Amino acid sequence: MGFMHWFYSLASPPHVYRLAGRACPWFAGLAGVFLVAGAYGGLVLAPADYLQGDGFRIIYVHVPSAYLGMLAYVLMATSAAIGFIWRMKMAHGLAVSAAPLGAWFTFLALVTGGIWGKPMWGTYWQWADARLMSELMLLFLFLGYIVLRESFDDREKADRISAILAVVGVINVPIIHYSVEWWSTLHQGPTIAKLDEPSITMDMLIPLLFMLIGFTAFFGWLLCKRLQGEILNREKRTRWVQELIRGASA
Amino acid sequence: MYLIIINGTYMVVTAKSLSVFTCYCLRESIFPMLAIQPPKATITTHDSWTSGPPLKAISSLNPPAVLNAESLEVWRGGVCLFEGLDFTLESGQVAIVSGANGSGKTTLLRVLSGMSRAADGSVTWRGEEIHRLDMENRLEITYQGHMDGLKKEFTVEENLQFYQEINDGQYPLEDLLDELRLSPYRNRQVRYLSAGQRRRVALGCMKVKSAKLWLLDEPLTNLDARGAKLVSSWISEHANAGGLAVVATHQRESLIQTASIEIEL
Amino acid sequence: MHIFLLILKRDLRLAFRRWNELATSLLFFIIIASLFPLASSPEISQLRDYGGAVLWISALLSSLLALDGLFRTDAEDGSMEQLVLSPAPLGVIVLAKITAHWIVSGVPLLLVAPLLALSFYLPLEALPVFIAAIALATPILSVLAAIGAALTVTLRGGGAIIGLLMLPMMVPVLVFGTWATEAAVQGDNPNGALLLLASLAILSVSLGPLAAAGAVKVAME
Repeated sequence: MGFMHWFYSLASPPHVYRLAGRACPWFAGLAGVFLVAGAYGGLVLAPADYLQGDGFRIIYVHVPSAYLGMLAYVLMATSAAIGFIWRMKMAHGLAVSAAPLGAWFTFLALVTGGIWGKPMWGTYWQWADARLMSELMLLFLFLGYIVLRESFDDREKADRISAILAVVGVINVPIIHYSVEWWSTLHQGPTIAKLDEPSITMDMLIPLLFMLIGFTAFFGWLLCKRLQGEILNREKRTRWVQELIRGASA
Repeated sequence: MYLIIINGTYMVVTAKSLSVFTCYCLRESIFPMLAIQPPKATITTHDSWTSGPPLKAISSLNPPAVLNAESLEVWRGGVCLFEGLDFTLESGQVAIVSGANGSGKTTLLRVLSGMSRAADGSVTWRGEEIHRLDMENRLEITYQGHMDGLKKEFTVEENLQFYQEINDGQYPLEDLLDELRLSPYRNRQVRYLSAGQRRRVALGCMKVKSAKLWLLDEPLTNLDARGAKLVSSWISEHANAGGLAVVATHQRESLIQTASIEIEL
Repeated sequence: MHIFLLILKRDLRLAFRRWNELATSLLFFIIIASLFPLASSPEISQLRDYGGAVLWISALLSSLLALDGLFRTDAEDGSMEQLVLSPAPLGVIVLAKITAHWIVSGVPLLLVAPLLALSFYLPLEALPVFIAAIALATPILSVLAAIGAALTVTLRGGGAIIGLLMLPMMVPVLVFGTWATEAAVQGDNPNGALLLLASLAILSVSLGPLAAAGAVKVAME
């Protein structure tokens, strides 16, 4: 019963607002520590790769961004589904906050993927790369969710309909990913080198893990901030928000 | 190799779909735990007058045919239309909902039908939550909104037949067409009918369902005097036979004689 | 089951009285396919290269167009309200509507696509596989487009946004369909792709109508 209690307490906007506020400094602290350590380790300490030289270091940004894009989508779809089934506005608020963040991280992954590709393939964009293509599709899924939400006037209807889209999308994401991977293995030309992660040694792996944790914490911090903003926006007519704003501006 | 891949994809995909299903099942079990306590609210209904003794349809097998609304709070477009609405409609009673444009008459009817959700409160039919009704009880409720609900490429008769079949009814269509004065038009496609005629067809489709609870939103729009009288008499007959009706209307004078309860929004 | 047949008959009858809509989506398919040779060159070698891709993309786009009106006309005249409130399970009703639309738009496409494929110099031996792939793909496309139509039923500028939402989800169909076609053209074994298409078809037809029904119910609230 304790879990259920906690779960239902999450439906209360002021409670979630306070929770997000309290979590922020923790996330920020974690992010700061791990990002700095990871960046130092990755950019300075790790030795240059045998095959790719110093170019491989972009993976310290590329891999975390790609991973966060996926994480954000799953988080968005899960909270949208929870909001749909249990009719919790806050869950929808979380999904809404996660969507643009996921889109930006996916975009970042695409851009860094291109930067990585330049020394490898000679071009910034390579249609044949499976990872880039499936990330592109993920970006479209995010954008579709955001666009669909904006098209509705009634917020609750917008929430619930985009939740259905998010759930349909999350079921499709593995299918899309595998089909694109297939397609790229079919069309691997001899001139296209795959973006293989260099055979990972310990000194490369540890900074990567640090960066992963740091990026995730950064994402958490951004998410909390956005969630707070979203809550304030949704609840702007309630008394507690008015008092909060009045108190802040006093 | 193919087999592994196909099996793998299928497993991932069925696992995902199974989780969707379990969520739905969980919802059904967790819902009872979500005990919504309705807040103390102001009462905005008032009983006006009754018209004759209401006939109570007493059945020892079924729970009594009663529509009950408790502490309904309804929002639309970010604005609270009304809150704390309580009323009970029993067999043989008719409720009239009146109010200015935009006061929430249509929204109230949609909430009573189960199509929309109230922000707070509950609606029950025969003691069951309106969202959880089984097929038999669902069949007893019919909602007629602003839109006609007719396919304009179908003829009058085809529309009536469709609604009869989908509700498993056996209403005699000939008599209905005569009553509605639509017999000469039975084979004409609805798109060639006037607005008043279409409204009559729509009301015919409602009657064909032989439902117990009628939820009518402005049934008299577009109708001429004879049509309005017909609707009025249908509502009284329905009430006398033990049925229930909630009617939202601007023209309270035509229907007020049949009403037992008036809800002003 | 009785409800399924009832709604199926009703939608088929409606579609035949509105035959101009069916013709539109089929003609759209043909026109898009015809634009590609005009845009590049009609040489045999080129056509053979991208012919399969052209047909598959045209099929995707025309399925979006065909199902745009699936729920919209019902929502506009009020029959969707009545269907949502009826005691029948909405998933069955939606499945019946999708089936009716597939019969009316997918099957003609299935008949016309092989002809167009031959015009793109698809070798005759590859034709059965191509037809099988299209036959498996059109139900998937119909269901996905129906989900898109259900999500956007109350929106005004319907058609274009359905594309944005659903085209990424149709990518696997495109990939597996063209893979099967190419495998058949080159004499390889297309069974892997066809089986994958079949499993996608089973998945989408079983779960898709539920998603669409949920979206329609929310839209009617």
